[in-house]
Amino acid sequence: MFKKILIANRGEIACRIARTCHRLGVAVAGIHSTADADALHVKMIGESIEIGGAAASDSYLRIDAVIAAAKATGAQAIHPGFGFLAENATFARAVEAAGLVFIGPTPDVIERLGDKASAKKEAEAADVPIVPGSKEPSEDAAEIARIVQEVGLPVMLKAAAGGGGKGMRAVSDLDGLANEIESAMREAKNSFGYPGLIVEKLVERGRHIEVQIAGDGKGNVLHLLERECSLQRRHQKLIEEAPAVNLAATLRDKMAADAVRLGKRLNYRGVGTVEFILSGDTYYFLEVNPRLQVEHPVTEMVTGIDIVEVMLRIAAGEGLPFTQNAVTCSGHAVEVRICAEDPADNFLPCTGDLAYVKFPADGVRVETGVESGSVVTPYYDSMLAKLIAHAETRNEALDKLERALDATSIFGITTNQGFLKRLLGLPATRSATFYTRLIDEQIDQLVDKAKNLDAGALALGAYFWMIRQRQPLARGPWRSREMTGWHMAAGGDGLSPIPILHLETAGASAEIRFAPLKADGSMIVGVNDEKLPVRLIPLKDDCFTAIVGARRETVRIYQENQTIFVHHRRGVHTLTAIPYLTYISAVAETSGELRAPMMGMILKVNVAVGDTIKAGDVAAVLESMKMELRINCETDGVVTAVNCRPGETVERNAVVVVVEPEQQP
Amino acid sequence: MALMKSDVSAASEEYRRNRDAYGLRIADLHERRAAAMVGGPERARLLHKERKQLLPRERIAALIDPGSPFLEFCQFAGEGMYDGVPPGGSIVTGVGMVSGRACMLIANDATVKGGTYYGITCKKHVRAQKFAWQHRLPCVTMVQSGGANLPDQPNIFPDDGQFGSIFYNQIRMSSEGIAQIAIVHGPSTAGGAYMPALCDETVIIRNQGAMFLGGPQLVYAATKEEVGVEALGGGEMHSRVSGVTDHLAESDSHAIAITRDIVANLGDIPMQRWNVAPPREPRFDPKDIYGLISTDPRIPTNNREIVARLVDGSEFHEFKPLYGETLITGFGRIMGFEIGILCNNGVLFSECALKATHFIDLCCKRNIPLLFMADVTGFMVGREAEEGGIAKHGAKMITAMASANVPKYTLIIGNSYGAGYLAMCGRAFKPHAMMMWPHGRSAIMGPDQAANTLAMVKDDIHKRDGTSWTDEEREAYRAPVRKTFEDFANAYNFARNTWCDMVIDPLETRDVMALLLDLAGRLPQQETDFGVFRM
Repeated sequence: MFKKILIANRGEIACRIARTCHRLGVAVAGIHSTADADALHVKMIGESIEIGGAAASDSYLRIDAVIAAAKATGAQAIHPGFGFLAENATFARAVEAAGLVFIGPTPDVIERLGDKASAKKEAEAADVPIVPGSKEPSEDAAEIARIVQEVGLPVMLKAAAGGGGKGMRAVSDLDGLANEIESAMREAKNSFGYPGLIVEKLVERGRHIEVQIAGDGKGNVLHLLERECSLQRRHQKLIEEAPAVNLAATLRDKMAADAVRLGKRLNYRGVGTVEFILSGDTYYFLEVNPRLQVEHPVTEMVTGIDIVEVMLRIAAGEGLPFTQNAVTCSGHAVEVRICAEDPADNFLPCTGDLAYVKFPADGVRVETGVESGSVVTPYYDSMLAKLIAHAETRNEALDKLERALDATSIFGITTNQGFLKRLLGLPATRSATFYTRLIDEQIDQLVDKAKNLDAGALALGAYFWMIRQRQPLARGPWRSREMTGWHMAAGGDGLSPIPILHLETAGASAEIRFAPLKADGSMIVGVNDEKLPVRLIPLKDDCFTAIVGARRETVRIYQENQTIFVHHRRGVHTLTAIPYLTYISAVAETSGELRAPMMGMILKVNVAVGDTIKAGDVAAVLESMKMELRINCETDGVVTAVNCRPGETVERNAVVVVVEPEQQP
Repeated sequence: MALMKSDVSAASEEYRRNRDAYGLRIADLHERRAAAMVGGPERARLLHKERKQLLPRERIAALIDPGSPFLEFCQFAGEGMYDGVPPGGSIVTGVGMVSGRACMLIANDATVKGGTYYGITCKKHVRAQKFAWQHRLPCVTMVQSGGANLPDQPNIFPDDGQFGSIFYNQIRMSSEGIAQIAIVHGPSTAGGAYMPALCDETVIIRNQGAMFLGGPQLVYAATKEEVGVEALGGGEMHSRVSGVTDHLAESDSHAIAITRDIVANLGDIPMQRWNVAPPREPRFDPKDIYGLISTDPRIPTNNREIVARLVDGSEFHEFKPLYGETLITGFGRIMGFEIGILCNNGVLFSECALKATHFIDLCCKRNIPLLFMADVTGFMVGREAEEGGIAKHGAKMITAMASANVPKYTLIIGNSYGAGYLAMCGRAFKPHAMMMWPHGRSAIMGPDQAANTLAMVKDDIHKRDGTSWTDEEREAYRAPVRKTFEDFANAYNFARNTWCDMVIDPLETRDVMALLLDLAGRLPQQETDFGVFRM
């Protein structure tokens, strides 16, 4: 076994690889970009070399820098993780040339599998069924159109150099075919630098089944069962599981045998995944991923085999650490990928500060690359973490995963958590009658775009805000929680005569009034015109039993500066809390009258009536006492009057410019 | 500490009757408070809102820290005294936390007769100042007042304790380093202008607040000068030209925000000097108090049961329980604050007075505040009592009580008549605060005694003049006297005259005491020098 390896990756996978290394007593070093200097993987690995700027091309994709980092840290081998340089034969070759071990397949195999067309050829040669379609990539649009007609609709146009779901286009209509081909080629050229396309028969309502294989590079290849990853959005896997259900044993065995046969033909070294598309009883080879897969944990959970350990042992020349007979399936495992993206906004990636990150302490396996305080930058993949549930039965695993999603709080940026939860509850998910296009077909029903004002969540946030400013009774009754809002009771609800708090949330706001806290800890909170009796009973880990009217539920609430995050079963609410006095007094903070600070002569007037100006802009310049004095605008707004001209002498305090301040909505 | 005993049956007929009767009293209290919180007529309030101004209670709510308690003083001042003036006397006063510091807040209600000062308004304002002075609380005066209400001149102008005292108190407090802050919320003429002018720091609102010694009309009459409100005394002029005001605000809320910043910069907040224990609820339910208070004034309440429902854990270290037992004395805690309690449980005998003197001395030596719980018809009379020297013993008790420099609180929990009222720290003895429960009664003597006494005087006159009157005539004379004394003794009569600071629900007592004691505990300790004790 190696004494030390370099993990040439970031995020959750770098952390996950490091964990196995720690367990095996293998020392680890890592790399990071300038943007990742404070990232979790750097802390967890414990030794890391900064190899360049934020953009992946300036850091994680720099072959020379990665190898230099390995040398600098004394690593004997490099684990590429997935993405970045994991499937880059040039890199694998350079690693070997540098006298280091590449933890993965041989460069030659990577090359042969890297190109879809050549991979298909390998599969065909290994007698693995392949999707009808073009044998070679083509850059000739007419040729491509001919093949489309030959294969028969529907078809998939794929960028030959593409991968990971990118550069694919389904065609189900011959009208406009030429245009489709042309734009697919243009896209391929732009994205991958090579416009060549391959045509494949589109398997409708296909399921994505993949077989995990491992080979020692000496002709021995085994499989670690299959996984099903049919729940995808635009070819991106969202939920993965092992084993596949609703799959005849004969088919399962046949696919596994095909995968092993292909591996043997390639004299496969390391671990890899042979992907198939299944429709009815027919399946076709899709591709081989010659690396660790994102979804590898589900296989680990049901087989009990640590796939990273397998990779290390193979790379260290120890051969396969188990026999085929030892690979058995125990229970069922399901994984979800939590990504920083906004389902309501067309799954646009979200970036920013993660104010708070908390995963369930038990019940599920958590693979995360972030923690409270992490920053999500736009430079890398949006995946933040994976949750993996393992249980006796599939339904139990799905249930566990749903609970785990409820118990996972990621505050500060929008994630797909709610969307994933909805997916787990879908009848098609529960009955495993899904197919790869299901989500895309039903996306409108699956995404909750309406952002309703949830008065209960606002009331809870308001209660939390109020109680947080109060102190234990030992600090005196005037400051105490117990006497929050105390005044002489006059019957009625006791709500404050004016709002005390202004809460803003996505696209909406509310004025909050409070009644005095009652002896049982409850309080009536007025949310606009609605009155809600609310109470929070603290539990651990920032959780509370929230009581709103007759409903009791566990919620997590966290406040950072002005932002309060309320996480209940229906999702995360991000509230901005502004004391009402601050809110209403800010509106009229300035009169908009700009005055001459001294008597003097106007040198310059920079604005005219009707101009829109910003706070800090210089409206005019005054000369006085041999000094040039700038008259700055105090607020954003529109100029409504200019009372001076250059050369004119003005009195001290004279109003020279009037600005109509921009009103808050 | 010793757990008190209780022998109360919540199932008894009497308990239920008492409890139901007290429930009505509390409903009445709430109704009166709700009425006092409305302010001026609807038309005036709407006009005020139309001008984008906050009502006085809204100003206070905006000024105090979110969640701060508000302890209101003299809420019922002037109730029924003046035509068209709702309870409160055109002003709201009370203590609240501003930027983490307890302040006395005094807000004119311009919706009531233009916020003008009646006699009772002056008394209430002065009472708020005195509480602030005694507790070294910064005063924030929210001015919007037309000044003196001219027809009530005798109660406003000439005497100590009237309008002039407001200025005097401001200046003397300022001289003692007790911050005086004002917000000029509206036009403030003459006296109204002096209040902010005499403050340490003043905020005025543009196109809303104004101050002048004489308004535009008066100026025209005097000098024929024509000038508008803003030019004569507006915020812009006073902030830029005259320098009378220190901060120029754009709105009520902006002015209040500036004021919060002023208070935030008043220096260190005084520390609590007492060790406050973790508060505990009484072991016996305070709600029982409703069922314990006798509906018939002539049937005494067992006040030991009441004490058991006010002290933390119902734990009480009673002093001299076997001696002078019609006065209960002892130590307990209320919401964690240690306190010495003197509570009547019958008439005052010589032994009671001696015991009280001893106990007050103990509390002064130990720096423990005193709570007088008054339910007393007076000192014992008769030959035996006089021979026993009740006059000198009573004098000792009153000397001790009046001399004591620990914080003192008076709570009338039943009757408080005659010399008993005074000995149990009546208003004249300057308790830090004086509260009454809604059924509390206080007068020189009880209604029957008063009627009898006055009838006997008449009897003597008849005897001297050789005339006589029938029993019917005698009763017809007694009845109105009894009624007058009954009305006088009523807690709300005390409240409307500002003879007490507040009428409170018995269940509010612990909270109010905690708020008051916290303020008193932030004052420097004062030693006590007793007057001569007649031995």
